Amino acid sequence: MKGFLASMYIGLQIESNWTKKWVWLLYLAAYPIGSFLTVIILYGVFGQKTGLLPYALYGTIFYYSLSMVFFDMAFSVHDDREHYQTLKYIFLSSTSYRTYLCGRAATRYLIALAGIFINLCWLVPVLRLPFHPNWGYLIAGATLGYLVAAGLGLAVASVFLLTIKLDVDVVDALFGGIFVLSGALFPPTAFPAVFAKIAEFVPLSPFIELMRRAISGKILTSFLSDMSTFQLLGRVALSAAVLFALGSLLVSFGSRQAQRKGYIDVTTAF
Amino acid sequence: MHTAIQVENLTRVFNRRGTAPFYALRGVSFDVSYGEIFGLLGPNGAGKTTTIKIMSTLLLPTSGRVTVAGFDVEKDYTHVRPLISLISGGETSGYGILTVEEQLWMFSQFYGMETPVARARIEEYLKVVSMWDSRRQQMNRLSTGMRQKVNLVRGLVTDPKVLFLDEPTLGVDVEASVIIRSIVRDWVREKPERSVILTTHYMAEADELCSRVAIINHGLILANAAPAQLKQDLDSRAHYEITVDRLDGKQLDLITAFMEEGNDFVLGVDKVTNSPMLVAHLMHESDIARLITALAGQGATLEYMRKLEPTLEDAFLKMVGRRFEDEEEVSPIS
Repeated sequence: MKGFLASMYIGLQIESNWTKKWVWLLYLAAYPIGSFLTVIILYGVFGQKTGLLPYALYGTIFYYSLSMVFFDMAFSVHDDREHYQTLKYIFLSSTSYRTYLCGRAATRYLIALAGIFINLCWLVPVLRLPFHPNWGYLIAGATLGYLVAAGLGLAVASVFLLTIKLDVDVVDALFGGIFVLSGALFPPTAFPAVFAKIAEFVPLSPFIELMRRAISGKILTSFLSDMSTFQLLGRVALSAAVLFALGSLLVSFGSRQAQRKGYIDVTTAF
Repeated sequence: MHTAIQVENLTRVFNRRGTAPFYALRGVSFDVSYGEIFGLLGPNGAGKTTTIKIMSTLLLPTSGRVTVAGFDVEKDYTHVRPLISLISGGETSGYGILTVEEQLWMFSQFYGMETPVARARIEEYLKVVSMWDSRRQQMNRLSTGMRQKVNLVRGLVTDPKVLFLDEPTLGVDVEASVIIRSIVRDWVREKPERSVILTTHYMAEADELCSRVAIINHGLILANAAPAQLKQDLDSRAHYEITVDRLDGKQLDLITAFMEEGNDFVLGVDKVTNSPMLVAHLMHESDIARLITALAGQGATLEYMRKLEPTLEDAFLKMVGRRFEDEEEVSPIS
């Protein structure tokens, strides 16, 4: 637990210690805007008639919260190995590398959720978004969502432990694909039937739909509409358990292989 | 248990695509006792860092076995890690945005230390390295020497049983090097259940600190003994440099005839005083008295005399066939 909290602390310091506190708070509020500004223009200005603005906006901001977790985990490997040169010292400590990654990403997640909360304070009244939060589902969903994202992040981190060169494009393509298929931006029912079916099984889909319903109090489209909110929560819990266990196994395997190959403290000119 | 580290027939091979396998270690064996500072000396690419990486669980061996405090580094690495610390020189590790104090506290937490204990140790060691006043300074504002001192404190705060020092004074100024060496020496003396494994480029550092050194080259241990023993094994003769007021070749011939067979003499000139300077290689230490008598018999007055001691560098040169400075960096991975 001490290791987890210390990792959260370093995550917070890396995020916030580069400027004055008030500038950082401003940044905290402004940063998520980039993730949903396109959605507002797309559905709020040009596509008003579609009525998809609440669906796409809520979907995008909750996808954004999870993306902070898996991107942070993935890039921490290279950051710590190449930039800070601390990876080997973390590996040699009593704290497991999984715990360290989870701690750092937890801070990122909380920061992202704080940014979302700040922005919802003006987005809901200005855009007249449906807002009837069920706090129980929101808190449970947010907690399980973290585990889903952490599972994915650990899986990518395990790959990065075994690669010397950082390939940002691969990560972007992977998570970009998940973004489209998870129904964050538009209902996958717009896809051909096969892809729509695949979208239902993308691990992030039930989480995003759960959070949409939990915050708006409505079923906004037909995507996953045959499932009750409680069933969605069950799906998210299952995804969280499976993905987190898988991610943990993969990062253990990746660590061992990196130890075998001598990649834990390798530095390059990249 | 008396043995802190046991290395048995350790081999490490790096397989690189398109090139022949690189044998970093070829059956290395040695052991290190508690209370000992053990040095690993060798040119770059000799296998020192590879050995330290395996002992500290950063790298797996291809074959052979290493135990630290009785635990196998390959199988029981989760037991080994809380007992060890690694400090590498010549790098700029650390989170630049953290203050010195934050950085050290954070690593203490990774070892599960109670915060009050950690803070007390951080204060103690920062004062020892004269950095207590810099505790609130950000890491990225520190000089190389200061960063290395913080690195050393990070390694000591967790009170490890075995401390791995990989070139700890590399790129560090003379003052910081002296402080680091002094701390390491005192740290081992403080508790008998501690031990240090040191790799260094600086022969004088190994000579000063280590109770035993292993000379390693091309992945093989060439010698493993106390520095004094290694120097003694180099040459059993006694060597002296004697400056006199006057001495010529004919007088030297007479002196050579007077001395026992096997003693060698070279006559030169002292570059500072321009007086004749005799370098004597004597079979026995006691022959010096006979030599001084012989010089006095030739009417020469002693101006200056000193005994020439072989250095660890000489021992290294004899075994490896070249000096440290002649080497180029070899990385088996990149």
